[in-house]
Amino acid sequence: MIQKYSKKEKIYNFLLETGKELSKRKVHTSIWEMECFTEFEGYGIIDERFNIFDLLILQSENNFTSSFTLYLFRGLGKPEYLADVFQYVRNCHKTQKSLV
Amino acid sequence: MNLDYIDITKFLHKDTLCTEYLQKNAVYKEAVQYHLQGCKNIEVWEYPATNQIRIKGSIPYFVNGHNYFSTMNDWKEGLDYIAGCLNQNIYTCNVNKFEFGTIQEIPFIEADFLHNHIKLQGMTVKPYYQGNVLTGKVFENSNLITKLYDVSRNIKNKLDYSIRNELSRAYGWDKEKHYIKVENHYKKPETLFKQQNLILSELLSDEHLKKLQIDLINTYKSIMKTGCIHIPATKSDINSGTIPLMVLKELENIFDINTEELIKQKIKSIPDEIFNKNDRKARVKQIKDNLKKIISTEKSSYDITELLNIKLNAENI
Repeated sequence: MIQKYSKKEKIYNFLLETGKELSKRKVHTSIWEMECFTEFEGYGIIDERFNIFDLLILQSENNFTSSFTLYLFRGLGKPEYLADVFQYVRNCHKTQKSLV
Repeated sequence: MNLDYIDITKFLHKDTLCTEYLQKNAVYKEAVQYHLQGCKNIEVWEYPATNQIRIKGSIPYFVNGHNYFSTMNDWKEGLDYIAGCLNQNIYTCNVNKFEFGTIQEIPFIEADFLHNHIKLQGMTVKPYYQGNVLTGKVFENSNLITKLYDVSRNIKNKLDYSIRNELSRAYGWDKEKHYIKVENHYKKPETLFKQQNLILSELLSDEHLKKLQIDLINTYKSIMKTGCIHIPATKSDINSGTIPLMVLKELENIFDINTEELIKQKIKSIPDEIFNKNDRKARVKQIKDNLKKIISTEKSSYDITELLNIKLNAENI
């Protein structure tokens, strides 16, 4: 097998670099995988410590080689909303694709 | 029960395909064909005019070297590896075609099993032979191809000795036993899932896999089978007159015919100069006596629906 960075390593490196710069470490999140929505790299919640629960969804069409998309859904970072939000983003993508 | 071959496409838009880990195979007018370096199981097609890629191949063969059994982890490992090589998120690819099937051990000789699976409503049927031996049957319509084939032959002929040993050790494959592959090849997946387009990530979800399992069993169930006739226990009950009647009785349900009625009509149609009234009566009596020796059951003895259901339940525990 060819030695490559895993998805987790790439995301970790990305967050490490940009996170430090952007937030000065005031807010942070881990990135978790959403099992049934493998097309997304993962999601994070900013920031449970401050009771904010904003949901971040991270996606890249090119394995983070040239671009990525970060979706922010304010207040929807609670377990009961996650599946619906992911489904919503997936549907938006599919609609966009079918219009191409 | 697992996914096997897939055929997926994706528009790259502003991105470019990473060809670093690909080996160019052929160049056509509108497409370039690659395969993954050192692995011909996975084909990657690039369409420069539309900046589109198409990936075709069997992920279980790619990851494990066989398609006897594969887990979702195998799939994730294989797809993530391909995605890493191409620098593309392939989970967002549109699914054009795919195969879903299972290998089932059967208590019959494969050729006998295949001979007794006759017809699938609304589909054409094509038998495949190796020499004189029936090795497969393919039922096809515009949306679906259903294949039944002798998988023991494939395992013995296509797989290396080491992989065969691995199959025996890990999954209990036994070269002395009989195995059949039941497989659905979806040509238009969107019709099954009743949605506009299906992406790979959706296909791999538990909900969709469950649908595929149920659809596989239902498709198998709807194959019309022969083998619902009990063979009489004594030699004297099987004369040259009973054998054609046994065959006709088996075909009754499939072709919606009534053997006894057809024979009676045939006897009636024979001109009076050849058969008088007594001749006719004697022939009808003879046929009736022979028909009495034939006992049919509702279910074919070659029907493996129950075995498939057991497998499905075991997988879902």
